[in-house]
Amino acid sequence: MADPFTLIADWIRELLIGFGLDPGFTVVLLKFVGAAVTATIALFLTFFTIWLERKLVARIQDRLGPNRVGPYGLFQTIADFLKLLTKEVLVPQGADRLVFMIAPLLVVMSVVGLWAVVPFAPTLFGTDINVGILYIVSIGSVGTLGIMMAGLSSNNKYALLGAFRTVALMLSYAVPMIISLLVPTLLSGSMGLNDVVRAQDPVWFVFIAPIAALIFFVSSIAEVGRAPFDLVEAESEIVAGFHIEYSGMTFGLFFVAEFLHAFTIAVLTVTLFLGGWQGPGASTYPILGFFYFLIKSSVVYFTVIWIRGTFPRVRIDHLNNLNWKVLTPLSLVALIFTAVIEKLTDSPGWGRVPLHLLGTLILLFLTFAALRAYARSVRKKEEGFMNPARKSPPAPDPAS
Amino acid sequence: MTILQIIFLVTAIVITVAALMVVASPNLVHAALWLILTLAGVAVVFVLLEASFLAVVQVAVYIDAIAILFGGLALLLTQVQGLPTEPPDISDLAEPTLDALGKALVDVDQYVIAFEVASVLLLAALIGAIFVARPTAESGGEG
Repeated sequence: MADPFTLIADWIRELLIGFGLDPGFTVVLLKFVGAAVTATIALFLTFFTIWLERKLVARIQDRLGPNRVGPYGLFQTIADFLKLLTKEVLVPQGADRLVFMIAPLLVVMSVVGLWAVVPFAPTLFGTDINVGILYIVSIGSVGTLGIMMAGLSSNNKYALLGAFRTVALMLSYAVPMIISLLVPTLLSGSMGLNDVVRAQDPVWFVFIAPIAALIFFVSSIAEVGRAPFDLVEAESEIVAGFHIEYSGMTFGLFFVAEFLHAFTIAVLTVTLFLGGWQGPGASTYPILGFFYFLIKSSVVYFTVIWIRGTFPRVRIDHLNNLNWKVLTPLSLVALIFTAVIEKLTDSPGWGRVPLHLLGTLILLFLTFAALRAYARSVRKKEEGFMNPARKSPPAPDPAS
Repeated sequence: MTILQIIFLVTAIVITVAALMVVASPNLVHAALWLILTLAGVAVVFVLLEASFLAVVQVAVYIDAIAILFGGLALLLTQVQGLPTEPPDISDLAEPTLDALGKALVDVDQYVIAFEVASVLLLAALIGAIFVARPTAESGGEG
């Protein structure tokens, strides 16, 4: 019972070979079956996460949330899904029909593709490629291409502007994200996600490089375009962004992709920085590791929803300032700090953690000092600009 | 025929058709999208050759960066609805222009130094590439 995943896979393989299939063909067939099962589970998971998110955000905003369909409104998403299915898929006049229809598929594909390399348990993973982290980066930004195609083919100015914004946002936030992804690579000495998880025994990377973990988390939220970075669909400015012309299930695909991506960033954060399936007894009982993974992912996902319910939308110039003036330089410096300290300390276990944390504290202190100085200079300039009279008040007339 | 061969054949057909469509498509945006499909097919070929790093880099560099850049350019050039299919008329221009260009490249008073420097640089890069890629004596031609 300790390892049901290998058991099931072996059982199916034996069964297929028993039917008289070629063993080589069976391996390929099993890969396809695994991909189908993973994608299906991932997409069905969104039924639950959409409900969870609506319920939690409602609680944060002092509402009840969906509570009519099923117990606690659990089947609300299924009702919404059925409604979307019955709606007509409209293609606007002058739109690039084929590109218009392919775009949502690409967006969903890029998110589901991420699940192929995530190790959910020691023996449960789609495939163990040795360039997993690079794969995440490249497959993740195929979604950018889909959004670009959606905006391009809609024949709508707002969709085009929304697509421009999305692509600009995704491209610029990819910079700190990729730099912070270098930290787990550096610490584990591998780009394979299985090796990254195994290298986090006993110390999770979040204790070694908390800044990199935070930057990865923030910039992935921005990559997905969720609140507070949801400028992509700022209703008051560009109506609904790139998916303005989509209706019915084509819109549903964008919607599902966004919610699944939100859960996927929780999954990736856990894999890269929070030890993946690591936990007491996980390597001997893989099913235990799976539960650890689920618990950790849920906690991180809760944080994502919490952030969405708490922070107001960021203004676009603030967004760019945050990325280029704070996150990118900070991630570079954090990478250098981590590399140097890792080289200085030679102990593999918890021994190196205090030094890393000390480095983090120094870095945070320097960052906040620089931000304070910058804010002060901006304030001074703005005050001088707003009321120049305050600096040199007019001299009172001695004659009166 | 093994499964790998079937996958390779399908991929090869897709790459060829997509590559033809890149040059045949009159719509600039469609041509860019066909180019992306071609490059994706090449990534699949890299996977079949078990060069996973090259495959992933192919996706990251070509599909993401270059294709999106190209798409952005196509967006900015909204005036260009289709590519011109008629060749420009240069029958009276070509001969003297090419002649002048050719002479200017080897004229001491004009671009001969820049031309020679560029040639030497390219030659150095070529020799360097051959030197780096040359199989060493120990590896026995394995390269």
